[in-house]
Amino acid sequence: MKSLLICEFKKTRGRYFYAMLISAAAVICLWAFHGEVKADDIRLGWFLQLYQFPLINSIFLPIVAMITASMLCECEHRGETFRRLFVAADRGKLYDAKLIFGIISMTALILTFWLVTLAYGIYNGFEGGLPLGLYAAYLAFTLIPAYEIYMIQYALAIIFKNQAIGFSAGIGGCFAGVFSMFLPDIPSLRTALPWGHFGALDFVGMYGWSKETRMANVYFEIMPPSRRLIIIIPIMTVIVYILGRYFFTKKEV
Amino acid sequence: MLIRLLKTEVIKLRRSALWLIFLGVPVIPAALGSVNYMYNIEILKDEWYSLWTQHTLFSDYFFLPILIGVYCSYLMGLEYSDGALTKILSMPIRRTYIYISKLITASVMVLSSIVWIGTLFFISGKICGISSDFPFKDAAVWCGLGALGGIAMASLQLMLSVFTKSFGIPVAAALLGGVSGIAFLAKHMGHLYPYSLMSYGMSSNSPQQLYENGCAVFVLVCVMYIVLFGLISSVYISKKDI
Repeated sequence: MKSLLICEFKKTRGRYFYAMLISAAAVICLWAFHGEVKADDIRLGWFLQLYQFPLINSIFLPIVAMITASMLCECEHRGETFRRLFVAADRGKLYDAKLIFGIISMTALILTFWLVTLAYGIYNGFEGGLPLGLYAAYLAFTLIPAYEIYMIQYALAIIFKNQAIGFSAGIGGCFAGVFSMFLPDIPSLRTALPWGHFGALDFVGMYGWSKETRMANVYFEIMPPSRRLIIIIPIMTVIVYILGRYFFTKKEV
Repeated sequence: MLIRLLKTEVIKLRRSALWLIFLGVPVIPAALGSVNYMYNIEILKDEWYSLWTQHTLFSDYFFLPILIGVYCSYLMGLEYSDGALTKILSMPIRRTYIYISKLITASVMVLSSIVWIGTLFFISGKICGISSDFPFKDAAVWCGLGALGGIAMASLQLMLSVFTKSFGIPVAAALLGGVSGIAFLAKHMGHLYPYSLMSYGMSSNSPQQLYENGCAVFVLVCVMYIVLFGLISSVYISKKDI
């Protein structure tokens, strides 16, 4: 497995893979932190970030997941290397090695954004002290759906030679996931869609906003996320993993 | 010769289901944008104009640029697989036509999806029970200029796909472009940046802004970009070693 992971690392060199990841992290940070910091941002900053960032994650992370998965798998399809790799290594291990490499890349990206989020709050002197426990929960609730979506994108990218299939499914799903966050009255939509799980696991609710007073009377409350969902997501992830691995190992090359 | 190349493009795409995505994806913002409009009808008071922003806001910034990127990558990817590019470059055809035929194919798809977005907008408005008259003239301008902006973006994406064999890199560029396009729109320079031309033309943020700034500059910039990216790509393909 170690040698397969080293192979994956070598394959990514000179293919703008890391440039893509760094650019994606830069775009997410620019999107999240652009604009001037107002007094309300200082007062409510820590909770405001926890409330707003699941939406940013639900837009950007699925797109980064589909690009990452495609870039890691496309070279094998284009070079028709699977027929050579299949005689040199176990198919299941090949699937796992590529998956682990992709997950490490996604984790690095998410951790970077998370650390910048903390640094931004500390630098701007957000009031009330850093709620580290809540931010640890936020990190977990970002990683879990990100892995789930990456697993789907990876399965599509490695099984189908035509990368447009994975991209099309990802764009459609991402679109539906983002819009599901604007429809809180239909919670089943967010639960059913893997791309909506960023929103479904959002555990901070904002209250007191009005057109007249705007942020003046705003306060936040912690809403424990659905326990059912915390169980459903790992189960869905494992099912996607098993199915993807099965179809890959049975793949005709 | 160009007509024959276009016919081959149609043959290549015959079994591809990608056109289904172009028709299927706009249904999602139309349906969910309409539901969102109905939920916030007290705030969104401009009827057709408010509904239009709900339909197009996210799709223009993020999803249509990426979708165009995927389509252009796919069009060029057909040539990169199985050595098809080597075969087509060795044929007695003008190499510039290869790019032009692909741009026309992408443009047809962009135009079709914009017409579909306009149709969905009309149907959604009727379903939402908007009582005022449908703004036919405005909708035609938004769709027409949006399509022109989309074609300019497609010409850029095709150029990137000509430069690299990777499927993902041009799509990543489309994501970066779409997001950076918002900054240009915010600075009132949406009519100058290739990735914000589509949202600017479709007036997805502010339906009145387009008229205030005038359409002539916008059209001129779009045509200029299409010619520029077309020229660069044509020169690159012409000089390409088999």
